[in-house]
Amino acid sequence: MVDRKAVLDAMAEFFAENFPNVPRNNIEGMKASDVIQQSLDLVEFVLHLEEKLGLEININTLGEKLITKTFGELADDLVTIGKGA
Amino acid sequence: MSRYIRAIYAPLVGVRVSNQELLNAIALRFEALEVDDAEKNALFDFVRLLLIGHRTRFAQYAERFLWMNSFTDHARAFAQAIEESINAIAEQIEAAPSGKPFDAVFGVSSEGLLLPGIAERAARRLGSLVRRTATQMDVGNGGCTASVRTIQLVQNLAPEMRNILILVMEPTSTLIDPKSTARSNWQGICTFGDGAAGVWISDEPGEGALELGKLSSWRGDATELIRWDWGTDYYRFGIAELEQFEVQVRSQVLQAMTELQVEKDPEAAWAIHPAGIMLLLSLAKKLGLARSALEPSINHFRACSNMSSVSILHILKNVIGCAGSGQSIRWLSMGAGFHVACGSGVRL
Repeated sequence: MVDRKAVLDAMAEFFAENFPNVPRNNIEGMKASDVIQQSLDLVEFVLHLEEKLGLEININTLGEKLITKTFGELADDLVTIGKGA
Repeated sequence: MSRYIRAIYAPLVGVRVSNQELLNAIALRFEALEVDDAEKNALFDFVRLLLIGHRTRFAQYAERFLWMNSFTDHARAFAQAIEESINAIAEQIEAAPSGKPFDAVFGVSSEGLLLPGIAERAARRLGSLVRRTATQMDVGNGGCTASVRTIQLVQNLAPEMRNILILVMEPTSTLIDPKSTARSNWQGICTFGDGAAGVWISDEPGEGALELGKLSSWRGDATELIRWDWGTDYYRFGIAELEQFEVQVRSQVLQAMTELQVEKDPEAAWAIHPAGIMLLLSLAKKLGLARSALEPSINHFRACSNMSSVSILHILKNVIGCAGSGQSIRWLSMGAGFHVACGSGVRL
């Protein structure tokens, strides 16, 4: 079971470490594609979430949502994935 | 008996195409796709995800590769790419000839068929550098592990086979199915790039050679995971269950590493097949490798994308070139079969 706040905290932690210029007061409303523009960063982001949330995230399942959705919407998807874990 | 990699020939063939250039070309091609807008837009978002960031690949049929329209277009593109690749490798061999004619030539590719084969064409091109009596044979359908499994095969040949040339060419762009909306097709298009490489293996050591150590391979149960499907006019990239692809690949590779007893060896220099950055980073953790140890593989992926079984040879050439005398070198490759192949050696 994954808590939505835990997902957003893990995301915020990743941005603090890797994208310090990204304002962290509105992560939920930001689109992933506005922040992550390199495939390596995208993979690092997914691996960071896996490690922090104890989930195995299938990048193919999330698919294009990784660039078309907001982080808030992604957090909702990860909560759903966590329920199935 | 000991065998040595005496040289790796790693020319770049074709035209360099960036992610942005490929995305623009695909956008243009999508305009002609006869599917509804919702499906087209979703597919294009998927392509955007696959082409995020700065990465390039080489395409040998760049001007028309998204507009191939018949079996003949594909087969001709394959034949032309093979000729170009043979010439590019031959030029490098001729620039620094081995001094002794090759006793065997093996051609490796998984994208098409040719008669005469790659080995015979290469032997003809190389003239007196290949004995008339040399064994000449092609190895097909090996996927991304084909080159290292051929090295494994060569290591086990009879001692009278003293100097052996392996020519690997993977013109993956000739498999593009521009009319298909299958996601696995577009995943292949965005992931792969064309490549060519050659390896000279000898029973004699030489300056900068790599003495081959233990080579092994493993086949898992996910036989259909990566495959060629039948496309509109030709074969095309296929994946059994795209949604489970990443997870299954990771699982198969980790199972193989356990069974093959690929132990942690952080002192070694590593060449890892760039099947994807996600997999590379996961493997690095499993192998206890520092991120810097992955740089040769990541840099190759950024510049050339996944050249199927050619990639590991380009990476290995770089790793051997940077290694000092006595340095242990390891490699790991994975692909259709589902095969995982690994090897080790010591730089002389």
